Amino acid sequence: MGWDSKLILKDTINALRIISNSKNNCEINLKDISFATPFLITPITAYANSPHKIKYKILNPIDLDCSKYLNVIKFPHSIDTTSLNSMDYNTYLPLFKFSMQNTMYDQKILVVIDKMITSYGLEDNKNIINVFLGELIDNIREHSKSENNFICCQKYKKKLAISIVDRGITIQGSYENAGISFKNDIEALKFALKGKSTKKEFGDERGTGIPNTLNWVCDALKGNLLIVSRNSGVYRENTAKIEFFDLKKDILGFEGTIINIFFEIPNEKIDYLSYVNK
Amino acid sequence: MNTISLSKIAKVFSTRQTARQLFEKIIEDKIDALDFKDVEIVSRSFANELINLEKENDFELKKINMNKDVSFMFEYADKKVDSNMLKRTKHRTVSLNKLLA
Repeated sequence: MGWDSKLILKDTINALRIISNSKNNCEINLKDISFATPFLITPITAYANSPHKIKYKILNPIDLDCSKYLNVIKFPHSIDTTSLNSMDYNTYLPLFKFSMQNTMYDQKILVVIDKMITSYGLEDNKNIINVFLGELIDNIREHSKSENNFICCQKYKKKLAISIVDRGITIQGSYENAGISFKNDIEALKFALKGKSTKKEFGDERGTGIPNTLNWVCDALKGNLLIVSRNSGVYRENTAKIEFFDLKKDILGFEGTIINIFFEIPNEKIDYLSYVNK
Repeated sequence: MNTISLSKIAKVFSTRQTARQLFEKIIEDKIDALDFKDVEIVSRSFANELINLEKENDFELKKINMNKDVSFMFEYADKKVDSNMLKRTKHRTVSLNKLLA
């Protein structure tokens, strides 16, 4: 399978279908999978490591290469900071579990990201990656109330796939907790893209994390970004229209937030500061 | 002047929690200046949190040796910004099937 631009969408939705199917029998069926990406595996890992302590039986892929790959990226148990120093980041960051309840994790995640960036030949654009991943991780800490969060990355040729998943209260749940009402889940995602903060009492300068991440990933890096939270999602393929979609009709909703990012590693240094909302 | 060299802690500062932790240290150690030499980047959230803590506590830290990127983030963090992407970017709601087609 090639890494085409729709892969991010197809694999995320496939992950949601696998998760949805597992709800009836507590079986995560990966038998038919022949190619695994972080977009597919990270949401499933977050789901399998359920905060509700439900034990899922995992049916591994029949395809041996795919099955081996899942072992390599530490599916389904993932790794934590204790295994970090021995890891080789040349082409991938295995499923890495982090908890934001423990304050010492902040800098450790950043160290992992920094190692990854250096290994992937992204030195020239180090700051842009550090800044948007930092903002996304900060959002998990500030809003999701989630203890089980996962990040996984895979470099394939010149392309980079990043998936960050939390099992928190979702973007919609965060607005609800702040007493901000909306008519449906898509409207809540629109609030996030409009920069509407749940913490405006701390100042009007809040709410820039997701809009700026979209600018950096889609406009600056010409990449794709997909966010799924509860019963809706938003997708943008480089500078094309922003597309919102509903998951309810297909019963594919996710109890948490998935952020999947896909871009080609640029050859030149990008002036990322010029893409910041002003 | 009691200065803390931030690069001894990290080269990248991204989260609001990191800013809060740093501020605790600043108060505890009576620090009045931050040296950003060799700090590569800070996120806007980090910068915004630090500025807000300075305002809340009614004192201003001297910030020295900021590179262009760090300096930009602090300048930008204190401004009201128009983050409404939907005002500037075309958008629509589509069915999942259409999106996957």
